Amino acid sequence: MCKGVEPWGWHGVRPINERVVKDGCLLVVSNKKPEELLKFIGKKPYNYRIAILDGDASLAGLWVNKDDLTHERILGGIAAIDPAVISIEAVEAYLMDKTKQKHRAEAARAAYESLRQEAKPPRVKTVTPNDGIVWTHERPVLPKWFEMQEGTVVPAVKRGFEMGPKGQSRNAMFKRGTTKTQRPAVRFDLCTKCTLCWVECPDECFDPTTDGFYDIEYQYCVGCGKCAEVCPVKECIVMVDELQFEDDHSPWEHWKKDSQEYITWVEEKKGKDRVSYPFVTGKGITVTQGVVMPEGKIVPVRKTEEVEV
Amino acid sequence: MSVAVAQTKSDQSGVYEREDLLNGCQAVAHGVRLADVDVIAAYPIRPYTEVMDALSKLIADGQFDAEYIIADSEHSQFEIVKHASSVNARAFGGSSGTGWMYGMEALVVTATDRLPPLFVVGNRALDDPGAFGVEHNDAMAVRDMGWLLCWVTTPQEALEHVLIGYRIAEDKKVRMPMGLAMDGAFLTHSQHMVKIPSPEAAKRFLPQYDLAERRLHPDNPISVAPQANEDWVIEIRRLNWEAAKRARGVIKEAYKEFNNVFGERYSAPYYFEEFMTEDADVVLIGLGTVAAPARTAVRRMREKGQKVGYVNLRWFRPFPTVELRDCLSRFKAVGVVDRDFAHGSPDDCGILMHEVRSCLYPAKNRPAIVNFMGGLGGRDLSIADAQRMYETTQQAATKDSMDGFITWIGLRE
Repeated sequence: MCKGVEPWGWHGVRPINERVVKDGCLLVVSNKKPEELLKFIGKKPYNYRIAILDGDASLAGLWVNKDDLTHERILGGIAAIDPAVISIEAVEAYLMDKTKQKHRAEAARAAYESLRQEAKPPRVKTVTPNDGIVWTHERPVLPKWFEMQEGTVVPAVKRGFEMGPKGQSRNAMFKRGTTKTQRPAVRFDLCTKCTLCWVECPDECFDPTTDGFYDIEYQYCVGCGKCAEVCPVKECIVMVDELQFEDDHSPWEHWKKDSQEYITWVEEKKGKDRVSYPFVTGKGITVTQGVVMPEGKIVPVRKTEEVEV
Repeated sequence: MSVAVAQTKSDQSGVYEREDLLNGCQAVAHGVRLADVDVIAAYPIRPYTEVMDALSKLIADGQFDAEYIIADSEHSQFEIVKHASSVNARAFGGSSGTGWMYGMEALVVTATDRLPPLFVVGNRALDDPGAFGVEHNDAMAVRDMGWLLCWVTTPQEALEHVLIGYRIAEDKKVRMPMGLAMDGAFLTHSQHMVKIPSPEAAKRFLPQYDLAERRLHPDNPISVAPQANEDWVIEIRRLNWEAAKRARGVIKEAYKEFNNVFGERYSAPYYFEEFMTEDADVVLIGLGTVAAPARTAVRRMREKGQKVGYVNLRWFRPFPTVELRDCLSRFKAVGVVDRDFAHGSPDDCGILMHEVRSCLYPAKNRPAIVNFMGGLGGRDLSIADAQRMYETTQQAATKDSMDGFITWIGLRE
């Protein structure tokens, strides 16, 4: 979400720190360092803080409550970054009273301790007006009442199709690609042109190319992992950590430009670990040999040596 | 239910094909046939049920061709009508009482999506178990949601208002759903001689339904009713407000055109009809079949030299604010007859009373005004009742007291 949030259609991609006030604090659950995240977060004209609670994507599934103690840890985190909102004692008392489960209060306390000023390593950093990137996403101007079509009608995306990158007409007002936690990395040299990624993608992100491959428009990819799941070739489509990428350039064009350089680049992005977020897609659990999270113990990332497809 | 063929006689004018003895439901069915409706969705609840009976008979007899879908409930029924309307099918539905209320979710969205199907409401009490008689609260439930809403008093008017209703609802400047209300039993099931227009004349009056740029069709790719959160809703309301206001002008035009085709059937200002009001001191105003005993009472009281008249309010939405204000401020006293209730509302009046009183507030000459709660749950409103209401209103013209401000009519007390 550090790359931006699109609440609904016509809202545009909005910076994660849009509502952060002067001297306020942005609390992020991440396994990255502040410097790494600030490569994606827009600049603010004043100082504020960024606090990082060590952990992995949890609420990103939106409709899915993984019950991985992220809720509890965020309450503890808030107590650490601004005790005036709530004290850690009150958080603990609330969790004990509500759930009668000690490990929930303990998770909140551990999160609290990790974000305190005295904590080592320090996890709260002051962000100055020099930190962050220039935010380039523009906010759409919503039409006035008399400019709208009657009957709650909006024109559909104009139909059109061309072969090649960005060849399909897509909705310019709602892209949703910034909130993904992982993206598909493709080895075109391994591709058998079976079409399954293109057919199965729920967001129609794949663009057929004149040479029979399928390019990816990452701006519209939500990182669901369906393409990687259906791809019959091992190592051809692999889901990788989204925050390794600072742009959404066309992988097919990259590959056409210099296929050797592309393969090296994409293998580097793929790394050795195969990352999967089982509960986000609701399907990935079958392809993951992740560590099952014990109650009260925080295991930030599920990593497997190999993905069985 | 059988049509009295023996009484059928041909009409020479050419705009009518024949005259028949029909009740309100059967008359509506003929209106639907003559409007060449494409999709009918039906689910039974009396008194509306006979409309679906009559329609299915017309179809079975080969007199009419339409998609006739029996739904599993009013909710599905109204959804079918709404969706058919959005793909440019002229669609018809109807219900009564709690059935109407059960489909309310679809009725609300039909209005906000500005689709123009026509629904008949055979007015029925909101079901204290087994209450089948007329009360207007059912149809009134859509009064603030962007619906066109009118009451008719005879089967002839019922038939004609199916055609008039579609014409107004489907007008490009309007495109709002049309509620055609008729009193349960007193109109739905009472027979009158009805002149049935010829299909050619009906076609001349009622143009083809064309949703144009809003037609949901693969050749016209649009999304209808996408997520409308706080970014859109005020603008949608504002846009729909405009249509509701424009409807007043379109209604007038529709009646003028109806008169052009069928002869002088309706007179200005069309939204309501005045009966013997020219020199009247005191009038009653009401909706639907209240007109019958009221008009008779007027005639009888006129014979005794009393200056009374009746105002039959036809269009409730849009409310004819200016015209009705001008009309009623001519009189010394107005009695408003409510066949509905609004418990706990200001002064505990009925709904029509609130509307009429609110309409009169800016008038230079405000008449005295009294309210009658009568005919609830289908109880008969007799000529004697009407005379009593006139007498009470006459007294109100001469005194300032709020005593007798609300009178219950026909109540056992």
